[in-house]
Amino acid sequence: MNGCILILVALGLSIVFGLMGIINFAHGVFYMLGAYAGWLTVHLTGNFWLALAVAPVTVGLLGALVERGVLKRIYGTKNANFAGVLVTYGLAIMIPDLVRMTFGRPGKPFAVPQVLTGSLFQLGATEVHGYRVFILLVTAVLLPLLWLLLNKTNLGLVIRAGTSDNLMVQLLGINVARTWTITYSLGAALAALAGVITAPLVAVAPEMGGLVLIECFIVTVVGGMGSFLGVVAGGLLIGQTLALTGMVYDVLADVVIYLMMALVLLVRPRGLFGQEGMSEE
Amino acid sequence: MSLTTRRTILKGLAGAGAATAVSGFPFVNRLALGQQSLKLGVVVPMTGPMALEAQEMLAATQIAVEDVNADGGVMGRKVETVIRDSEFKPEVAKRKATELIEVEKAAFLVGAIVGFEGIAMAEVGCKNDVIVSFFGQNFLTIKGKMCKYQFGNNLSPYQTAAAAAHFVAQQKMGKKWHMLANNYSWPQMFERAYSLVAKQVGAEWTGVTWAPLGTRDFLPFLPKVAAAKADVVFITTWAADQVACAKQVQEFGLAKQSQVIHSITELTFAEAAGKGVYENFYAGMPWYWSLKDQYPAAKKYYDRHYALRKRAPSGYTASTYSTVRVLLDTAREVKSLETDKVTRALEGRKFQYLKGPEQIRACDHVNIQDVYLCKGKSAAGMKDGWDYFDIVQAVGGEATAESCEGEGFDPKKPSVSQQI
Repeated sequence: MNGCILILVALGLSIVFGLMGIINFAHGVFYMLGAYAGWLTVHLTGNFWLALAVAPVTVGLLGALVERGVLKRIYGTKNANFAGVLVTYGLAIMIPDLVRMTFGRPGKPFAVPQVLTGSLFQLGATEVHGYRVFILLVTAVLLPLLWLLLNKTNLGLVIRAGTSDNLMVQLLGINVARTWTITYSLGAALAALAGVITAPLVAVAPEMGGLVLIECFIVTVVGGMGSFLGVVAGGLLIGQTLALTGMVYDVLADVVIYLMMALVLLVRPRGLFGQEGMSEE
Repeated sequence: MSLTTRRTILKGLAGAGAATAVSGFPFVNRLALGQQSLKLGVVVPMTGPMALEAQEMLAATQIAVEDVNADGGVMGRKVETVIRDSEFKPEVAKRKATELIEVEKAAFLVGAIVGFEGIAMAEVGCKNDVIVSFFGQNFLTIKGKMCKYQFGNNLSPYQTAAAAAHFVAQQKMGKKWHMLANNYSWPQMFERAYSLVAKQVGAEWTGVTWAPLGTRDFLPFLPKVAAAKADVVFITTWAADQVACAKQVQEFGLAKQSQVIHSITELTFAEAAGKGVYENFYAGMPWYWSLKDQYPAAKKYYDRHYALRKRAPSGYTASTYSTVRVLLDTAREVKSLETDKVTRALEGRKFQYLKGPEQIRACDHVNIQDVYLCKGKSAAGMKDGWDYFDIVQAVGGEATAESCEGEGFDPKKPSVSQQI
């Protein structure tokens, strides 16, 4: 499960960084907001499947608002990258507090939909449950779709070109501002989807985005900033490392992923699948 | 003209100074003190992940202080709380505790939910000879070393675990025990208690499956727990980790194989996990709101807390209430704010507020009290929004507390204040 969630959240983080050069500390917040949007939808309608659609759409729109209303103001300014860190870090502090004020501090109950409860089959010593398979399926379906979006559409072409050389894309007369908004919104929506599908298994609480964000930064650094394949490989690698180290010698679980990151950076400074480009500016 | 005025003022000031010196500062101070309220310094994490718990504890503090003031305050002075936010950071807790003592002249300090805040506050209290009493679990005694001005009426990890273990033995739930826990100092104290009680009652201790703190996915750990083939699995996790763990243990179906017991829980965790998630799990608590049907004081407390917070009070708020009450009531009874005098009076003190009788054991300042073992209810079995558990049994007394010798204290010296 961890690997799938990390891939979905880190993809948005990586694309946003690759294209916009923003180290988006607010990304974990979108993951949390996705879980809350999902909870609210289920709370009001009792329909988990509707929540799966509502959470990414609403949080994606909110992402667009954040990009247009806040981040847009710092583009092209002196130390824009540093300002981006400060602004998104501020949002990462402020938004969870707003959620606490709105929904209260106790986590929100979010159950696994009845149809996905129960064990499907035995895999070694582990029973594989319906909801876990569902998470795998969602990730497995989404990844090719995202790959197609990024590699076979005009939008994807612009995003990839922007990731590689943003200035050149602007000089070619492409409306980069719109692309940035769409990209940021897409990243937020992916994080929200990860949030809503994780929600039935974890505590839906305002601070839930913090830890996942740190792990996702490691995924993107290990995989290579802005690289689709890198995020998938990095997500699986970090997710499995966390699970396996935890099982064998849990004390090292947190340390090993940082060691892995350091090792990858020593051998391949751009990450496993990182390419030379804007992200190095 | 201006020179004359300045001289006049200077003369006046000199005269006032001389009069003060002759009459003595204590007299002046007593007059001033008689009119002033007594300040109770409170440091809790009002921002950050424990913000709700902090607000709940502040409500409990307010109720306790109102009750003390209704009884005439302390030495004729009304008690006033001076509240500071620790921001869930030890360095901030330390700074705010210092400020409360040095600037606000707080007579006592209370607060802290987690260990690092407690350690920071204890350090400040000890350095300044001010009593510090904690809201969170009382576990700052390490190998017989503690600050003699340090108290805490919440459960200690040892008694929480020992109560659960004795409960399991009494209910004959099985003799093969295992624990699933986050790996840090607090659950490690539970491991020690469980393994010791297992020896006492002739159970087999199969060890611990440790998961890192902040674990989101417990599934990789559950096959290892299942492989232990234990009759009873104790789970020692807290907050978001406990909620995730409870959901996934239920999903995994561990309860079909073993009796699952959460060493300790809070109402807010059951609420966050959702209706029915704790079904058939047992869990320990220092207090549960349904005690209002057993103790009139608990009913009164419940009603007042509900009026303030619009929610049922949690177990930790009841511990907070008794922490504040016993400290201030003791100071009133000994008619003193002198730290050593109040400390000695607190040692061995018996009292009863919202639950059965309690006593602060003199040799380690652990509060000997009942632990309530509760059973989680099914969603269909809940009567209202807070009805997550039924109390099954109160387990308490000296049997659940580790001996003071076992903790490293000198058995020849019966109280902490005599030892340090």
